[in-house]
Amino acid sequence: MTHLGQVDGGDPPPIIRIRNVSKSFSTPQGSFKAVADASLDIARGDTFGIIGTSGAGKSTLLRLINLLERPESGEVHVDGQEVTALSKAALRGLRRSIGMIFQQYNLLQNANVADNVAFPLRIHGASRAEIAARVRECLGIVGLQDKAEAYPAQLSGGQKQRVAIARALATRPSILLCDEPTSALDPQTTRSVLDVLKEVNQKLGVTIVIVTHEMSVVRALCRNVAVMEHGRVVEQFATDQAHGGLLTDIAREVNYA
Amino acid sequence: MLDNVISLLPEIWVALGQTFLMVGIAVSAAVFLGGPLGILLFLTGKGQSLENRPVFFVLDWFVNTVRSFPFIILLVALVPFTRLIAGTSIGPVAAAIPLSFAAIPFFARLVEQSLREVPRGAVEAAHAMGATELQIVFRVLLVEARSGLVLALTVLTISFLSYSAVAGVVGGGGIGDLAIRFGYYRFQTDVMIATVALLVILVQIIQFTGNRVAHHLNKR
Repeated sequence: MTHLGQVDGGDPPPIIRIRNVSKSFSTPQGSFKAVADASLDIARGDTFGIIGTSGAGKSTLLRLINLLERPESGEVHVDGQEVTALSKAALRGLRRSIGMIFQQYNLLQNANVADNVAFPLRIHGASRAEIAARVRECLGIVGLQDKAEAYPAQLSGGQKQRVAIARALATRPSILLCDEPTSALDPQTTRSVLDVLKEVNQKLGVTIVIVTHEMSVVRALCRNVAVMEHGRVVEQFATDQAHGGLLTDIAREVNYA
Repeated sequence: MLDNVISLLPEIWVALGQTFLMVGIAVSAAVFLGGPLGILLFLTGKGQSLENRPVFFVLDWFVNTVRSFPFIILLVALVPFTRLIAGTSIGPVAAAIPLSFAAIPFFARLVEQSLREVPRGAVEAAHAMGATELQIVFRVLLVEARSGLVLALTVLTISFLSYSAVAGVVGGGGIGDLAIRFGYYRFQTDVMIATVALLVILVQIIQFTGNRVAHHLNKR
């Protein structure tokens, strides 16, 4: 086990620790640095927002946590494990404990709700009985027990996102990564999805990391926020404290609105 | 007026059986060999999870090359190979060898195209949940592309029903061969019409079935 540095002030170690990660993409115009030397600590049980303008690298930073993108340099530690050093099989195992939801839901269109929620359980070899029970349980959490037989095409956007949350929770993850989960939804639906996420955090103790550009989402859900600009984490603050000295406009907007 | 057709009736039945045999073998080979080839072609392509330029280049080149052969030339060129596999170069089973050889890359290309229609997000979500490549193929790609794959199979079957007529050149028999030998060479117009009508009906049935199945499987 590789543990990074010393834990300061007796706080429990962060569940996610990102150190000096960089990631660039090659585009027709040349190389584009999406994340540049970013560092971040996220505490267990937190609701952590990553905000910034589009193209600031928020989604890329989020995707570095479960290695959907591999950093060129730097380290990512999840639950004390250095993820970039894991073997393929170990990474798949770790991904069981990291749920993820997306702006476009990314459900299987040709599978019904129950089968979508069962997907992560099936790929990790759960028994039939286990799957049936857990699917029912997860659909209960998101309030969609009556939609088990429906196909995604028959659901509203908010319902689809709740199915995606149920799917992400199926393997009892300790972390839920949310990539702009409400950006395609109207305000009311957004609220219902945020309520579910809040409950997931409070009742199940799941650490939530959410990327968004909507200030209302940050205010409703996040206890801690990181602001990104041009691939860098330029500011970090807790939403429950008044800050006089916030640097970025976007941070002031969250804090004073 | 239908004298020729009536006297040929037993032969028509035999020919129908030969056609089914040839097309059946070719389509099976396409599904079981061309299908995996198409999946590999897709997965090794640019931006996919098993991206591998040398492998993709070789597969892509093979598929294009075989598909560029006029079928009748492939049929003749493959005679030694056919003899090796089937033990003879004449008859419907022998004719099924070059048919299969042409059907494999044809279907591989159709499969690759169908898989490209699967939204990347679905594959990405599966990766995020810790799925292996094989699980992604069977539980995501083939599930999401299934109605497109059924339509691809329909196109394949109809194309090779038509290709199988050429197999008459190597004594493969079949409906198309009957049309050529009796309808065309012997000017038995009624035989020509009857066999073509039979082919029209077959194609209609195949396409209708394919459409129905594809529609039923599509929940998008």
